[in-house]
Amino acid sequence: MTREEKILSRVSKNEIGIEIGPSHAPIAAKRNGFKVHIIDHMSKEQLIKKYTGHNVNLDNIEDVDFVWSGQSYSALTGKTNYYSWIIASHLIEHTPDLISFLKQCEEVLKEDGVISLAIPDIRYHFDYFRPITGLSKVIDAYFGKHTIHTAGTVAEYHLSCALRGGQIAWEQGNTKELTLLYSTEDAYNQMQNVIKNKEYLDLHSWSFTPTSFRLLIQDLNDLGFISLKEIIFFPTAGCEFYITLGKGGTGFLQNRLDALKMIKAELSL
Amino acid sequence: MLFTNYLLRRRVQSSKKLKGKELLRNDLVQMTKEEKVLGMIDKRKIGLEIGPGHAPLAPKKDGFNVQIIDYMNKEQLIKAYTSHKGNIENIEEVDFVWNGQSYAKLTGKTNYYNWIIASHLIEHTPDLISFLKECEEVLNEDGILSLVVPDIRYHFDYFRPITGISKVIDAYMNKNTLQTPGTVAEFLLYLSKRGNQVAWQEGCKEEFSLVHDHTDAYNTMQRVINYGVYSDSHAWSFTPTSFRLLIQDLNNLKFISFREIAFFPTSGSEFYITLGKKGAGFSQNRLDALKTIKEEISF
Repeated sequence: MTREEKILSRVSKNEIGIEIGPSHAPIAAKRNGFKVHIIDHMSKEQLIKKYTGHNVNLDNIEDVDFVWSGQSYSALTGKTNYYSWIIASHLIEHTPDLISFLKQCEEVLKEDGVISLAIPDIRYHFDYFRPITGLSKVIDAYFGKHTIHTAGTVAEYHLSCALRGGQIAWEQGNTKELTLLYSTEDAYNQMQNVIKNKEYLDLHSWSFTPTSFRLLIQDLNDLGFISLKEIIFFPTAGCEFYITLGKGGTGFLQNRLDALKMIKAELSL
Repeated sequence: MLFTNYLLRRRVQSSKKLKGKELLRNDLVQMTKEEKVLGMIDKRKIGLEIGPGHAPLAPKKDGFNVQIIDYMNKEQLIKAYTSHKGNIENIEEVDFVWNGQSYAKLTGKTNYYNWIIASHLIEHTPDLISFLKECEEVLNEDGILSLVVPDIRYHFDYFRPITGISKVIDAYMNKNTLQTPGTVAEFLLYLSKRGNQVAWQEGCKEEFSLVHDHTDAYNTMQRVINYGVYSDSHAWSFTPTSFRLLIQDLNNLKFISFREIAFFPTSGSEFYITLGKKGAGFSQNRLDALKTIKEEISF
């Protein structure tokens, strides 16, 4: 299966959906017949300006229907219980409050709506040396109503950010040398920037193995935080894995102990 | 010169001369827990033991010039441990009953104590940085903090992610005094036993089991959210290297003055580390340390 097939496996292109943050690489492009609204953090013109000179195909940048500036997706789109699907590729790991992100998606989705996520696998990208995200940080970010990355997250990201053979993402089996990208001074300065100026720095708040993410979603559902459950999952290909969630999902059925053992095995590389 | 202190220095010095890793390891194995914890401590000089419960490492009856901080007085501790098969004869007179205040407030002293011992305590602190800073405050310039810390690989936190610096920093910025709803939920959902034991040794192959279900985790979390109760949990879980690196990173990020003075690898289910303001620090380069942590959790 191709990447597109995995991400689109539960998406009906004729029913109205949302792609969040596609920038220059939309998966459900209007030109390909998708009935889609685009949410991004800039307008099309601003995105073209941002990506000019970055060796990407500017022609792929979509018209942006809703320019997001921190509001909930229902406030932004003026819709609840409306969309049939949402696609968010390499987005959820950037959200300061993962539970609120999922709840906002639930709010704009219809009862049988789905959210399709592509997520980087901690083993194959720059978060390699970070601890995997535990449930505690996810829950506490929700109660803390985080809208920017915390001082701690910014410090941890910079202290752990690694390259392998000079690349920020790699494939299984790559054994090239690992290097650290930032110094402790960088981490200190960026952290102070957040503490003093409350600046939003775009970086990863969350780092997952495939099983740690699947279990997290199931645990959040079991603890009553979200209604979403797993519908379908595709294991890591390249540096990312794919998962589709919905309110009518059957869930991640592995018993917790076996899932926890799988996470230990995933990290034993 | 204390005998234990002498013994420790002699052994560490002789260890340094040995080339083989196994010889060093054997030499460390010969050291007792007391030697590792007390090696840098002068028992005649005034110190603190925090939270000894029924197992003090520096008891008054052994001649330690010590003041005891615990969360109950002696009578209450005897009552609490009578049903727990603890050795109640070892319970010390409690000099200061801690009730959430800083150690400087509690003891009325700053820049005063020569040493602090805290065994299996730091992993329970809702705000690890503030705990360390409070210790710094009551210690004199040469003062040291001797910690015994459980190793995530050999106790009930086994399945939890190791603690990242993000959570430690954020707990400090938020001034956490209680375990958070997230910590309580994670602690209970991941709490495991191995062959019915809450702690075990390297090489143990017994079966794992999980102790709590989602209902337990949900109910306890709701009590924290709705009533602000303190739910005693491990907030932090470390491998030896993840802890050593954390201390060094916190020092480099100017949160604490402490640096590592001495470290003893895991024996049984715990490791031993002594910190001080004049410590040389954990000198391994960060990349190598991060690789070591990956190896520690790959088993």
